[in-house]
Amino acid sequence: MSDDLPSSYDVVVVGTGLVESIVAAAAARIGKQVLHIDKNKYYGQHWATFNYDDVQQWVGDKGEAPSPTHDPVDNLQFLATEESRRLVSDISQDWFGGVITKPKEPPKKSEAAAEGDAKADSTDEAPVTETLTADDTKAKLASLSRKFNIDLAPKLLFFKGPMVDVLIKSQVSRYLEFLGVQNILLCVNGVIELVPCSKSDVFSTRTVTIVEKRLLMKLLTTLQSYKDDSEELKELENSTFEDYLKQQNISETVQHYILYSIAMATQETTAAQGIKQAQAFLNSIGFCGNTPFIWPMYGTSEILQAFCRLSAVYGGIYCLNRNADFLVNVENGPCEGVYSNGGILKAQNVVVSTGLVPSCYVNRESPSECYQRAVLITNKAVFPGGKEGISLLTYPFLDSSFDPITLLELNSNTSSCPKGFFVVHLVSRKGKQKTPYEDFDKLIADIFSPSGEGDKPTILYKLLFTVDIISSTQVSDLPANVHSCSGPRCLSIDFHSSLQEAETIFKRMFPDDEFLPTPEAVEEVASEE
Amino acid sequence: MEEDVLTTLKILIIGESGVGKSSLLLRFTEDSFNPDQSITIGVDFKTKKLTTEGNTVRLAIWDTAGQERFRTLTPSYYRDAQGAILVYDVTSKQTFTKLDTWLSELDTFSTKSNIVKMVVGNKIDKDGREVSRDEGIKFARRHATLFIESSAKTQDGVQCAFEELVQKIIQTPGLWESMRSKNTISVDGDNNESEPSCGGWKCSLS
Ligand SMILES: Cc1cc2nc3c(=O)[nH]c(=O)nc-3n(C[C@H](O)[C@H](O)[C@H](O)COP(=O)(O)OP(=O)(O)OC[C@H]3O[C@@H](n4cnc5c(N)ncnc54)[C@H](O)[C@@H]3O)c2cc1C
Ligand SMILES: Nc1nc2c(ncn2[C@@H]2O[C@H](COP(=O)(O)OP(=O)(O)O)[C@@H](O)[C@H]2O)c(=O)[nH]1
Ligand SMILES: [Mg+2]
Repeated sequence: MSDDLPSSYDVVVVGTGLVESIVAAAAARIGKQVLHIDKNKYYGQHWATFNYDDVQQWVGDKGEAPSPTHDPVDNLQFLATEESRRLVSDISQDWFGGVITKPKEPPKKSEAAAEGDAKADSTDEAPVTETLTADDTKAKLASLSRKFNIDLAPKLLFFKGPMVDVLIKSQVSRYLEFLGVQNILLCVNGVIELVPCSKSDVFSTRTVTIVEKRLLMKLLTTLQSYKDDSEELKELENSTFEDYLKQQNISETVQHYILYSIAMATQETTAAQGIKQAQAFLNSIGFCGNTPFIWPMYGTSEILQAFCRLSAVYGGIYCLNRNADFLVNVENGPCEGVYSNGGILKAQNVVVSTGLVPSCYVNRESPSECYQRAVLITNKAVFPGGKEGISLLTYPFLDSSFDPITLLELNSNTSSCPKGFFVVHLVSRKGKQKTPYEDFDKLIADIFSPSGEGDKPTILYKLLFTVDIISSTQVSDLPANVHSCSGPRCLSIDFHSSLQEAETIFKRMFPDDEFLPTPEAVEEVASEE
Repeated sequence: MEEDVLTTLKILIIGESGVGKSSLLLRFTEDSFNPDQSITIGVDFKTKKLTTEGNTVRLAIWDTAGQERFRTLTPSYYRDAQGAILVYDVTSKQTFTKLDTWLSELDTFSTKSNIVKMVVGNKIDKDGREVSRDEGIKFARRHATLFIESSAKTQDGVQCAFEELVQKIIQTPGLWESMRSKNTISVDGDNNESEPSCGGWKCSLS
């Protein structure tokens, strides 16, 4: 082989999605020899975080199907990815005119100072506004390309959730920084309201009457009191969470808060599931201000890169921009490894993205998780009355015409965009729409305004795409030493399912070893003068 | 953070595999040197206090963890670094030529436009020099970086390299003073049961 890679491994991981990266880290961590490759020049694939130019390139690339290069090798059987699957479809992008406002930069100060002090400095200076045409917008975004960090799969972490536990335990957390989500919002009938999440929020909110406050407090306590696997909870498996809430003597407004914002449920969610989701939310409140959520600075891709770093620190070998064309397989036996750059890389275990699994192993009939995404770049916050920072808004359709849309708005503090801009992510389940993005159009008409009337934000850039993730549950009959990893499940806001999947794969390979144990006391701080 | 420490600075070490990056890091932080094996594995980052010209700073010095081998360093490796050490091996021309690529990678990914760079020609104890001191100096001048020659083996120039880099960082306005620390919240594994530790801004879980 051209490069001096070892030719045999405990685990070869193909694809740098989150599940793959966690598995790579966990295996390397316990001393297994790991090779981790990806055909792209960047980490993350469906989980990638892109700057504006990268997004343009990504949209452009979608047209051409990657052509697999067959290089026959004697007496070995390939499990080839015969056709490239179109996992991303209905892509379009548009630019619009609008007015941007940005705080005046303090004259001739270096970057870091400007970043930190701009808020203070700009209060007494008049903000600068700039009117852009659609063409101006296009040029402006291109010129600011690197100031954007745009997630293909935006996600949040529950402050007391399993992902945070693993990050702390494994010390992967030291490669990461987070921001709290400042505003939990709900938009019903075109009106955006701040959702009271914690008990102290309930006290201070003005959208709920005193009597209702009592009922709401009681209900929040009740929701938290259900025990996992209890009979009570089991009985609630056959009714919907919506019906459960209707029986609780609370107004519709409050029902909506709990159903859509706190449980992030739909009309179809069972009561048992809704209660579990509400618990995850409520259990994470009170540690990080009145928000259960934290957001990884610079985007989702940071999380998987942090796991890759852990893997590398423990000897994992990393090769991007490198194809592993086929799995090399002996008839009906275990997989021997992968075929890459004209050579064979032997592996005890092969971990691959579901997107790479040959279609004969994929059951396309079983339901897949298809979702719609929009990335908007806007000029103002959707909820001017909120705190400056990240907002998570739920946009339900009360007549059940569509599933709720989740909206995540990131301002410049998050490093997602330069000052004066906002990045807004939309996610919704694909299913009930007759035409693509029909539901997004309704949200956009409610919340945004092309002319900025009523202080509404204007959309300057809009990227739409539809993602069809193949879940590992759709894959069957692979050789026992080949493990497939699902792509991002954007319909759930957190990383829980990906983490579980990674742990399951790890346990299948190494049943007797601990999953991402805490590193032995490292002596980094020891050597001080 | 202790009273006497001005700030924590993030320093990166990059360059081709085998030039002695990990060795420089361990020589500086632990005053140790291992002549035989490649020690990249297991080195994550090390911290060390350094006092120069009356200022004490804490350095967090990051190793590549071997991810430089196939150019797979993650963008997050470069984030928020105030200083970068670009290492080549004076006995290998090829590692010197590759510095151009490393500089451009640094420019692509570093988030601070005024990051301080230092070029280090390592392994001066070895015979068979292929890159003269002059060539090194010229390269550094052309790219406006600091320059020093060193040996991780004999310790020559190592302390000096880090001191000069730190001095330059401290002299660079805006590079370190207004770190976002006022917005930073730390959520320690040990004490995260206690207070709501996150004032709503940035937090790190550790
Ligand atoms: C949100 C999203 C973003 C996407 N972005 C891109 C993109 O930027 N570029 C792109 O080419 N496709 C991208 N795709 C996938 C694309 O739409 C097609 O699925 C793809 O062209 C065919 O991929 P695949 O079937 O080979 O497996 P995928 O599911 O695309 O690949 C799974 C993983 O394996 C890696 N991989 C795939 N093939 C190889 C190989 N031969 N050798 C080594 N590693 C490999 C991928 O990088 C990825 O990490 C994206 C899909 C989604 C859902
Ligand atoms: N003679 C000599 N050998 C060195 C020096 N620095 C590093 N080495 C050796 O060079 C090899 C590679 O060093 P390492 O630190 O792993 O390089 P890295 O890949 O850049 O991190 C090891 O065998 C080291 O012992 C030096 O200054 N002089
Ligand atoms: Mg090294």
